[in-house]
Amino acid sequence: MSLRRRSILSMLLMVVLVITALGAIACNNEGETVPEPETGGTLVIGNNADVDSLDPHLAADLYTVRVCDQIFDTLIRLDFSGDYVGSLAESWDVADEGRTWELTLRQDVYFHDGEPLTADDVVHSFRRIMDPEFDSPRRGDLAGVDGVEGITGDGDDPDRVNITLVEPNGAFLSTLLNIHIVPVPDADAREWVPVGSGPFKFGEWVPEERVALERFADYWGGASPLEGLVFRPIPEVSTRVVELETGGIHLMDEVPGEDMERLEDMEGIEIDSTVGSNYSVLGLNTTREPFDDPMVRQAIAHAIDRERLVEVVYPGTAVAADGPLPPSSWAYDEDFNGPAHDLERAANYMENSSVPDGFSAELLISEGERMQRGAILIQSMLEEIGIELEIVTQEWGTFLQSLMGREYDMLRVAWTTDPEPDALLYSLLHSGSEMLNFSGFASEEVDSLLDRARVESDVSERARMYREVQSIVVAEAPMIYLLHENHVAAYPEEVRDFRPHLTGAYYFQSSFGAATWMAGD
Amino acid sequence: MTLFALRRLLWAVPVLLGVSILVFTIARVIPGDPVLIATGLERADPKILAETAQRLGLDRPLWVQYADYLGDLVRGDLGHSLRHRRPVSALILGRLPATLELATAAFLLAIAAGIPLGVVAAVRRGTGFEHAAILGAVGGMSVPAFWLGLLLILLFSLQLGWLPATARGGSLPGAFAALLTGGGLSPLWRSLSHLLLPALALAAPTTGLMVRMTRSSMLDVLGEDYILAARARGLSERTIVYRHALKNALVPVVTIAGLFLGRLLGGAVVLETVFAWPGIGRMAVLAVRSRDYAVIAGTALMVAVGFVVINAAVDLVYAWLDPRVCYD
Repeated sequence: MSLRRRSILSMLLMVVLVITALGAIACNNEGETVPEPETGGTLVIGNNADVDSLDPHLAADLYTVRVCDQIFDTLIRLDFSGDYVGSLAESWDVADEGRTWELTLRQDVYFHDGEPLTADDVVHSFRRIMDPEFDSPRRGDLAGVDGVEGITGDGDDPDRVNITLVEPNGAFLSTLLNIHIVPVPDADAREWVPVGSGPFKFGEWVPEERVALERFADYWGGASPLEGLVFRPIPEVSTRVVELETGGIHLMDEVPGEDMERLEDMEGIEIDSTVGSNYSVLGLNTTREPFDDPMVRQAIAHAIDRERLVEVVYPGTAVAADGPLPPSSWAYDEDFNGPAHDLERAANYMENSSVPDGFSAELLISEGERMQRGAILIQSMLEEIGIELEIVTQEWGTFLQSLMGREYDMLRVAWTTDPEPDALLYSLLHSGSEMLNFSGFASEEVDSLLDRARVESDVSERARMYREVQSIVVAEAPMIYLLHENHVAAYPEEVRDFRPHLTGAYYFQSSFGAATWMAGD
Repeated sequence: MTLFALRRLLWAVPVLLGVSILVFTIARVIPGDPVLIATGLERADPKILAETAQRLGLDRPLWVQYADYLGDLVRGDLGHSLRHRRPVSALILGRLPATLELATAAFLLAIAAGIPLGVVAAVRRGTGFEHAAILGAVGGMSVPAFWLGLLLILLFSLQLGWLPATARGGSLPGAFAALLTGGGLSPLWRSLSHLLLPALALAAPTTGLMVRMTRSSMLDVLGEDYILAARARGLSERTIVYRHALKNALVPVVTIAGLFLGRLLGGAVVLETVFAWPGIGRMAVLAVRSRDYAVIAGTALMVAVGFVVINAAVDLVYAWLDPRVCYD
C-alpha cells in the first residue's frame, strides 16, 4: 500500500470517526436524534386581541402583556414549574423583617438602543407606575411600596435596588413579576418609543393587523433562533383555528374543547397544555337568603359533579378543582379533597336547611359558549335537590358591575392570577376587601390567617396557613371551586421547543428552558 | 344647485347633534364601568378606581359631561380613547381606509352583479332564469352576513385552500401604486385575495336587494306607454331596454344603492370581527365591550356623517338621471 493510498484511507477513517462522534453528540440517551435548533423563521402568533398599547406600564390584559413581555424584561420571572427565577435581578435578599427587598441587578444587560440597563432605569420604572398622573393600571400593584432607591455599583460591583415596603409582604415577589423595566427617557425625547431590553425589538405596529418584532442580537440571555415574531389579533376563536389549519398562524392558545379532538387528529399539529394558575367558581351571595344558610351552601357543593362538568364542557382543557389552590401553586396540597359528589348527602343538607322544600334562584353568567353549556349542566345538577335555576347571561362589563355590587344570587366567574396564594385568595375571601369579596364571606379566622400569611416570610409556614384557609372556605362554601383551566396551545410541528406557561405568558427565549425555534422544510 | 347643497349641509347639523346626544347617552346608560373594565377584575382597587374616574371627569353629572364633549366636538376634537390612550380622530383615521375599502368593494360587487341580473330577470320574465335570480336574491337578503362569511371561509379557505381566511392583505390603493411603480403583481393579488371573501359576504344582502329592485323597477318601466311607442316605432329590443328603459328604471335603484352604501359602512361591524378586518367596525365592537365612550361616540358619528354625505350625493345624482327633479 503506497503512502499516498494509506493517507487517503486514514483521512477517510478520520472523517468516519468525526461523523460518528458528532452523531453520538446529537443523540440522547434513548438513541433519538435531537435536532439542532435552526436559526431563522418568523413565528406568527394568533393573539386574541390587539395590544392596547406597547407601553408595558399601560398594559392590563394578558394579550397586551404577552407582547410587551417580548420587548421588555421584568426583574424576576416564574419558570415553567412556577418557581421564581432571576431575570434582570440576579438575586434578591429580604431585610428588615420582610420590609426591605434588596435586588442585585445583572451587569450584562443592554437596551435595544445600546444603552446599558442600570439601577436608575429600575427606579424610574417604579416611579412611573406609582405616579398617579401617569395612571398606570398597575399602580395598585405597587400600593404597598414606600420607596425605591437605586445604588450604582462601584467598578465591578453590580447595581442594586432597594425597595422599602409600607409593611412586610411575603408575597412581594409576585408583584415584581408584573413590573417591566423601561429606560429613563432622554431629556429631549418627544414621543415615547417601545425600547426595552427583551429578546425582541419593536419592528412595527399596524393597529388591528399585526405587531412585528425583530430578534435582538445582544440579548443578555442569548439571541433567539427566531428571526422575528408577528402577533396577529384574531378575536374569533373559530377564525384562529381556521388560520392555524391553513398555515396563517403558527401558534394559538385557549383552544376550545370542541376543536380539541379534531386538532389532535390533524397531522402535523401539536397540542400542548399546562395547568393554569386560576380557578373557576360558582359564587354564592351569602348576603342573600337562602345562601346565608351554610346547610344550603353545603347541599349545593355536594350536588355539583365537578368531574362531569370538566368531562362534558372542558374535555382535556381543565382539571376538576378541590379547592382554590391549583396544582401550579407552591401551596397546593395534593392530599386535600374537595366536597364529594354525593346526592344523598346533598339532599340531607337540604332537608335540614331553612328551605327543605327547595327554592328557585338566578344563576348569573357572562357571555361565552362554555359558560352557557356549563350553566345548563349546573342547572340540571341542582334540579336534583330541588333548586330551580334561571340562567341570566350578561355582557362582561355589565356582569362585572353586578358582581361588584353583589346584585346576584349565584354566579360563575373565573379568577386568574399568578400562582402566589396571596393573589389567589386574599381579595376574594378577606372581609376587608369590600370590592372583590363578591360572595360577602366574612370569617375572622380566615382574615387572620390571610393577614398573617401575607407578612410571614417562611414559605412552609405560609403554605400551612394557606392550606388552612383552603380547608375553611371549602367547608364554609361561600363559593364552590369547580375547576382549574389549562393553558392549551396548538402549533404546527415545525415549531420546536415551545412550552405553554402556567400564566398564559409566552416565553420564546428566556433565561430558563430551551429557546423556541422553527424547523425548515 | 349650490344653494341646495348648502341647505343639505345645514340639515346635517341637527341630525348629527341628535346622533351625538343619543350615542352619548346610550353608551353611558348601559351598565359597566370603563375604568374597572380597563383595570381588569383582578386588579380592582376601590381607591384607585375612584381616583381615576374623578380624574377623567366620569363622576360629574351626565349633562356636564355632554356639554364638555360637545364643546370639544365643535372644535373638531372627538376626545381621547380610554383604552388606547390616543385621540379618537387618529384612531378612526387609521382604520377608516380599511372599512372604506371593504364597503366600496362590496358596493361595487353588489352593483356589478345586482343590476345586470335584475335587468336580465325582468327582460326574461317568466323563465327559469328569473325564478333562479329571485330565489338567489331572497337567499342573499335572508342569510345573515356573518354566517355566510363563516361558510365562505369554510369552503374557500379550509376545503379548497384557494383564499386566505382572514385579515387584510395590505391596502388596495397601495397595491395599485406598487403595480404602477414596478412592484409587480403580488401585492395586488395579496390584497385582492384577502378582500374577496369579506366583500362577497358583505355584498350578498345588497346584491339581493339590487336584483329585486332593478327587476321590479325595470318591469314597471317596460310597461310604460313610451316603451310601447318605441316598440311600435320598430326599435330593436336591445335599444329599448338599454337606451330607453334602463336609465329610468335606475332612479329608485340609485336611491336604495346610496342608502345601502351607508349601511355597508355600518354593516361591516360584524363582518370585520369575523374576518379580523382592521376597520372601524371592529374597533367599535371592542369599544362597546370596554365602554370606551369617546370611541363609541366617534365611530357612530363617523357612520352618521357617512350616511348624511351619501344621502346628499344621491339627491344630486337624481338630477342627472331624471331631468324632472329640480332643486328650487
